[in-house]
Amino acid sequence: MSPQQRSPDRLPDRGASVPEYAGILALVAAVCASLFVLGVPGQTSDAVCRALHRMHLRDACAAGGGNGGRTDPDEPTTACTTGIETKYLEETVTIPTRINVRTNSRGTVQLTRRVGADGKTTWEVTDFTWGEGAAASPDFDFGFGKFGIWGGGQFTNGTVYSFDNEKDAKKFFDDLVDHRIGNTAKFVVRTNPITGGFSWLIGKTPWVGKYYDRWIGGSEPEKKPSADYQEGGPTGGFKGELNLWKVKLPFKGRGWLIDGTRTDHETGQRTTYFTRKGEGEVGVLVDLGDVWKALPKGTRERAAAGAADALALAVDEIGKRLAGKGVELSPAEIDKIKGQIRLNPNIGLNVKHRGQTTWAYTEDKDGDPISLTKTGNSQNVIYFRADGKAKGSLEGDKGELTAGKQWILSSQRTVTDKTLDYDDPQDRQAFEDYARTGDDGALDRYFDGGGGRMSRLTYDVGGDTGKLDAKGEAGGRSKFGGLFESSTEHQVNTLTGAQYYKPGEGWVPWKRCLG
Amino acid sequence: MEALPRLTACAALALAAGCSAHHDPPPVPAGFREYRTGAYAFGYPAGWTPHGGTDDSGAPTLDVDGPELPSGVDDGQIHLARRDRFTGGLDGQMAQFRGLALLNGYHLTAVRRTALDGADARRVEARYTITSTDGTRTPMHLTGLYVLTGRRTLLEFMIRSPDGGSAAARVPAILGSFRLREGR
Repeated sequence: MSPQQRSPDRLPDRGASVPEYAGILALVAAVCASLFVLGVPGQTSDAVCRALHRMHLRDACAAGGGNGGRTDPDEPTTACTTGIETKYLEETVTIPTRINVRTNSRGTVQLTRRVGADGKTTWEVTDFTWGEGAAASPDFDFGFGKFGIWGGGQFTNGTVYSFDNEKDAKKFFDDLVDHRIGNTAKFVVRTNPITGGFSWLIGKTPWVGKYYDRWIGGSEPEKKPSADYQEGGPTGGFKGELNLWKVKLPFKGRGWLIDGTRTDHETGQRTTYFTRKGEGEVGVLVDLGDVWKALPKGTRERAAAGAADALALAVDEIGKRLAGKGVELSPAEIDKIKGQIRLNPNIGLNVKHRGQTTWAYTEDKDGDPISLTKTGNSQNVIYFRADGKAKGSLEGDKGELTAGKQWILSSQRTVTDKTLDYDDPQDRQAFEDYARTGDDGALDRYFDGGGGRMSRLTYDVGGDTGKLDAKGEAGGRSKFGGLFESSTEHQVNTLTGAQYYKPGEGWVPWKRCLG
Repeated sequence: MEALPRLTACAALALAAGCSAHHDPPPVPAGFREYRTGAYAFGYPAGWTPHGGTDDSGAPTLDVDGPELPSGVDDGQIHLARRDRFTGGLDGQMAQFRGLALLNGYHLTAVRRTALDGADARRVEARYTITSTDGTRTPMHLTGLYVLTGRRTLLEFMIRSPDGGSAAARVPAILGSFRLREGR
């Protein structure tokens, strides 16, 4: 692992980074959302049996003889993502012109491991480029006509390659990383919204063209892609009209961003990802000093000595402060915090929470709807500070530190999928009601009552996500000529928990996914 | 002087036949104004007001609003968006439009392939309802075009009109006036 220590959610001097999150999180949502509907009755039972065997629950199989080929109707039929490795390069170009042009490109190569409904594991390498073209101005009237720069908005392009074994997938992934991202300067020219167009053109000129393509990293691999992503186009002004007119909004903040559309070459299915504008990040600072003050005398000493009840009191109190900002801790996160308190009861914690909702709409090759999935993608990154004090900073919404070092204690992502099958009349009705009323609560009650299908996956997020993170830290970023900056990051998501929802029972282990 | 009448006649013929050296868009209907840019032009009813805006991703948009009805709803609105060097295709764009229509409670009534000035295009129609501040529900009609030019400029041209307003009758003329220009 390279010594780059950055967390993915830095760039404190740049305001709106929701589109960046949208891009990254959409990738995770993409692999968990209803891309494939692979209901294969009969075969699932063998895979479940094998999984149960591995978990030493042989009796369950022997007794039922493989449960007679019955599949659980509440179990999701979608593929389950068990691991994601992402390498990405980001570059920002600021070109000072009369219309301030600041553009941003990201290149990502991602290796994803999934388990299908048939229990088989497949690997996918996704080659992704997206950018925020900030160069956008409406038409100015020059007297002889109106002209403007219309390259604005974000754009996404990606290609997906499938593999049935890990070795080939990993080699392809490594080769693609070297080829695409290896050289910052070349990457900048190829993908930047301003220069990217020219790069493409040079690639097309005879006898210089084909060598240029290979050199610049823009040529395509020989392998045929299994799917590709297309950028988000205009949003039809669906929200705009509600803003401009004095009308009652069905619900607030209905603006949708389009992260992109994925077309599966084999089936012709298309899945488009939409995220809601304006969802962001919450940061909460907790100083253990304040926590001990709120608890009975002596709790701190007992917690440091490992007393379970004292530790429980402490995390309870911490939980209250986080709940006030809408952040919840998982059992695994709580354990890590307890462990850290035992090492040093004077630590400070910085909890960053990012949550996003993505809708995935899938239609068949003829444009008829197949399914809709609402994906909740939330990530908690918990940092700890050994000195316990946030020097000179206040606890607030951003949870920023003005000085001092902190380390990542835990970084966990939870992806919750709620899928509506368009062929199911009840599911379809639930969706039409939601589209009309925007009532999230009603939709959730529909799922809780057994409608649709729900799954919940938890990942540990690691890689070079930054053991060190402090405001102003330049690590990993390079500047070239004052015009652009680049940074490289590496993130690994490993599945640590998988469940699906059975009405009447609650969340049950999703064995096919974990096995 | 014999040549003159013939020249005049020829010129008159040329004008009548519209065979000028320039390929200008046809004049807009009576009572309409023209909005012309390097890439496209269209006509809109005089009295409607053009203004710029941005969409959710920060890209610029153009809206032309009709007069406000007592319910607070504008009697007609044209919405135009554009992406230069668009790397996607129209089928993907239509998938996105269908998804957005669903998420916003629109009921699509027509989606069909068409062409505009030689460029690939799709025409869409939808119905939906909006609720004003006083609780009035207004059924609305949406008619629009997506066009992808040879230079990969994507244009989105949408016209919204409320039931019970005067805009609905003008939608065909507005849509028919939308043209591509050389600078695309």
